[in-house]
Order: sequence, then structure tokens, then C-alpha cells
Amino acid sequence: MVYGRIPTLGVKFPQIEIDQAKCTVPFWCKQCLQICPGMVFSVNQVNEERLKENDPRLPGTYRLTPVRRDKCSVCNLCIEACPVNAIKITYLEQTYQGVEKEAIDLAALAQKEPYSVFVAPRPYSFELPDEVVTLLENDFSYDKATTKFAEAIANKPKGEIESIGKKFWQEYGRDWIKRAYQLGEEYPDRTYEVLLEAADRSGGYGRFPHAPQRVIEFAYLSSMGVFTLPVIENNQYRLIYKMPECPTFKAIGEKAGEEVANLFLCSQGCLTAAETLLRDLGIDALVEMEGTMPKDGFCQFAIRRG
Amino acid sequence: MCHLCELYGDPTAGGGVWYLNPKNYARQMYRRRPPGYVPSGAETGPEAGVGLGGLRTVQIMEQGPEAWAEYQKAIAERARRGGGSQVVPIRDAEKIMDISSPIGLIACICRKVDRGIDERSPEEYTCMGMGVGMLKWERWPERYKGGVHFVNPDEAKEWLWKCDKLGYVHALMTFGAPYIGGFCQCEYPACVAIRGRLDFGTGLLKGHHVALVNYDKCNGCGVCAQRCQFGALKFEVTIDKANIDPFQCFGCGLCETACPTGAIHLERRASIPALREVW
Repeated sequence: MVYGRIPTLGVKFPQIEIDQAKCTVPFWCKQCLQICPGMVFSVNQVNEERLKENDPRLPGTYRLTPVRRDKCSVCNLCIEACPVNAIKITYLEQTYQGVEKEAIDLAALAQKEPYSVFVAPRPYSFELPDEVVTLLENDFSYDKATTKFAEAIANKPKGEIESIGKKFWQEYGRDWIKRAYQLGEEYPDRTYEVLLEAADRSGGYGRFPHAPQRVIEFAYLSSMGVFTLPVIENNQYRLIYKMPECPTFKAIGEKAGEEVANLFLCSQGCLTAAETLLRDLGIDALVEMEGTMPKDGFCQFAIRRG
Repeated sequence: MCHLCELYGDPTAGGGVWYLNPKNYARQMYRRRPPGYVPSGAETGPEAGVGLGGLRTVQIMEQGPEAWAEYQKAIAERARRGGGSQVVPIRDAEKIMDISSPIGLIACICRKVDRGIDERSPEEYTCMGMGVGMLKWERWPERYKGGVHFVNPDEAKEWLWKCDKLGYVHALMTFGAPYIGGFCQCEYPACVAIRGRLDFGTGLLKGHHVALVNYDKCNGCGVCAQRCQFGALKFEVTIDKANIDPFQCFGCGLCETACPTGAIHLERRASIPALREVW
């Protein structure tokens, strides 16, 4: 149930016209924006570029729009305030316009004022670097890993499969995450740079969970055939992530049989990976499984800070 | 019950209150692009204008009651599917600081587009962004404007109290519900969210509390009367005390934190029978 004000409906609100040829630098000038008691106007950037702020002193970089005409009382304070006579208001067939003022070149005036426009120093990428994906996928894709695993346990007596498999996946997990960590350092995207700057600024805040989160995402996105890794929780206490319908588990079933898959030896890979990463990053935390493929149909890992 | 709690609350985390559920602050940092992936949103470039949505709303108002009813239906449908934002009192706001990471202070986009306010330094920032999106904030150059001031939870709480003292309402924003990515500190009319709610009935939900006055303690000083952004609280001359309309109260708690005699307290909305479903 929503209780609100009763809006005025079915009446023609004042028409407000902005002469865009005259109103060249509205965000720099902002006279009407700040004087309007109804807060009718809105100023928005035009043709904004990536990673580059528009310079409000340059003509045409911002555009003034009379959005909330329903709040215009035709008090005409804006018309008086406008230094370039760009506003015309029409209400009940009456038109209101300022008396002709001395022409001034606001844009030229604006140029004289210093203003530091944000421009990224280089064309940043915030995304997962393609190189990392290719290199990790080459060595650690779930498809290759499971083929190797099937070969390693082929023709082995039943009693030995568990210990061989455990060792296999522990080594895989360790090498996999170490490589992801290494590549992550070799290919620092802008997201990572900002993360480090942020932690630096705020006494280390955010390093956990986001530094391990980044490497874990790199590893899973590159090797596990998924496009996103569902992150269930990421805060200063916990990092929890989920691997729905793990392709590794499924591939083991196909290549080595359901019985072997249900031993769930591959979990050693993911657990070792998380533990190795935390150790390498010097983070004191415990890794636990909150869901397993054989039982729940997904794997969920919880890293809790000690 | 608050429909956002119904959708996104977890009784085992945060007592069922959706915004105290840490899951609603979690998001992945990266995504892999499938073959043929078409980038959208922040990946392609700048955003559309904030607040320009009002242009259409005003046109619909002019068309009359029928068009308006249609429009309200669409809004209600959108709200039912989730999303939106909610007013949060300072004490809950403090709890949120512990379950979101990272936390950055940023320039307010509403004040910028509506009043031409140009916030360019940590001292001027009046908005807060939370979650991993803050690490990529430079992708929105017109909002970024050269900086995100990252803070830890203690600094964040201190800053929230500063905003509270100034008289700003705390309101959470979702970006792809239930993901909570922003924490507005604002007022009517400069805040697009508060304004949309009060003028058009859209978006922003009332908070989980309602402010009540203890008339034994109220000395009629009137300090609280300046703080209400929702037209709920006034100084009532007749009784020489503060009066709060509980149906208009959004539960932001600004009057409570300002009261020098501790005469105002926040009561849980759910505990007041006729207010339970007033959001």
C-alpha cells in the first residue's frame, strides 16, 4: 500500500523552451538549475566518451532539459537569472521571455576558469584478460584434466583409485590456482589496480575477500566452462562461491564412470586450490564445502576468515 | 511484510530483513564473454541521462487519469518483480557497513543533474557506493569525475553519522535486484528517488520503522521539525509539541537522532497493526 501525494492530472503544464544555441554551457553556468524553486531543470552530458568526463566549459558538452514542468509555477525567476536569455515559458497562451540583455559569450568566459576534467591516463580494461583465459584453458581446462585423470586411474585396482585420485586432484588444484595467481599478477587489469589502491587507502579493507575472489574467478572462468562464477557472499568475513552443475564432475562420470565420480575426489582439487591461494596471499581463513555435487547437484565453497 | 524482504530476505541472516542479508551485497567481479557476446551497459560506453525519465512521466500526467492509471499499474508490476530502494535508519545503516565490501564515497549524480552541484573531492562527496562495482567506477566518467574515496567500515560509519547530522536521509539503491550497490544520502527534492516517490509514488519504499513521539519527554523545541523530508513531522502549535503523521513517516530516524530530550523513538512498523502494510 502506497500513500502519496495526489498528482495533478489532465492539465497542460507550462511549456518551457530552451534556446540550445544560446544555452551553451549549462553545467558551468547553472543559474537556472539553482534558482528554480520547483527544481524543474535537469542538466545531462551529451556524447560522453568512455573513460573521459565532458568538459563543462566547452559548448555543447551538456544539455539543459526542463524535465519537471509539473513543478513550474511560472515564477520566471529562471528567465531573470538566465544570463543569455535562453528560456521561454508559455502558459495559458501567454509567453514569458526576458528583456533583451547585453550579449555575453558564456563559453568564452568559462574557458578562463580552471577545471580539471577526468581523463583516464590510458585505455583501461576492467575485464578478465583474454591472455589469462587462453593460457589457463590450455593447461587446466576441465576437459583435459578429466582425461588425464581417467588415464591415471585406468586399469588401477579399485583400492588404489582413491589415493591416486586424491593426489592427482590435489596437485591439479595447487598448480591450477598458482598459475591463475601468477597470470593475475602478470596481467593486472584496472579492476585489480583499483582494488589494491582501495585496500591501501582504507587500511587493507577489501583485500579480503576481493584479492582471492579475483584469482578464483580467473581460474574457474578460464577452466570450468562457465561464463560467470556465482558469488554468494563477499564481505570482510566470508567469501562464498558456487559451482552449479560442475562440468568436471560430469566429465569424470563420463570418462571414468559414475562410481568413480561419486567418490568425489575432484573436490580435493577445488579445496586445495582455495587453501593454496589463501596461504600464498597470507590470508588466515578456513575453507569449507557447503554443498557437494553428488548430494546437492552443485558445489559451494565458503572461505571464512579466522 | 515488506515485499523486498519477502523476495530477498533470509531468516537465518539479518533476521529476515533483506538489506541485512549479506548475500544481497555479493556479486562477481568478472565475466567471460561467450562467442558472439554483445557488450551492453557500462561496457559499451556512457549512460543515458539520469532523471530524464521524468520527461515521460510529466507527459503522462498531462494526458489525464486513464494514462496515469496505466502508468501506475506498470510501476506496481515492476515493484512486484523486485528492485527499487528503501529508506534505512542510521543504526541499520551502520550494520550494513560491516557486510558490504568495498565501500567508496563518491559524487552524487542526482545533485549534479538537478542542481548542477559539482562534487570533486572526498570532503564534498555525498553519495556512497558499495560492492565490487566501485572498483570499476571509472567506467562512468560523469559520475566518477576523478575519484572514489575508499573507506573502511569505521570510516564509513563516521561519514554516515556526518550525513545524518547534516539532515540527509539514508536510502539504499538496488542495481539489478536484489543486488544493493548504492547508499544515497539525500533529501527532497534533490534526490531523484525520494522525489519520484513523493511526487509520483514510484520506487522508494518506506523503512522498517516508524517514529513515535513521547509527549512526556517532548519539550516542544522544534529541532526535529526541520529534519523531516517527507512532510510527516511538524511542530503542532495547538499542543506545543512535535506531531508525526505515522502514515506519512518513512522511518528514516532523522528526527530521532536530532531530538535533544530523547522524546522520539523508532518503533518497528510490523508491531503497529495499521502500518504493517503501509510501505
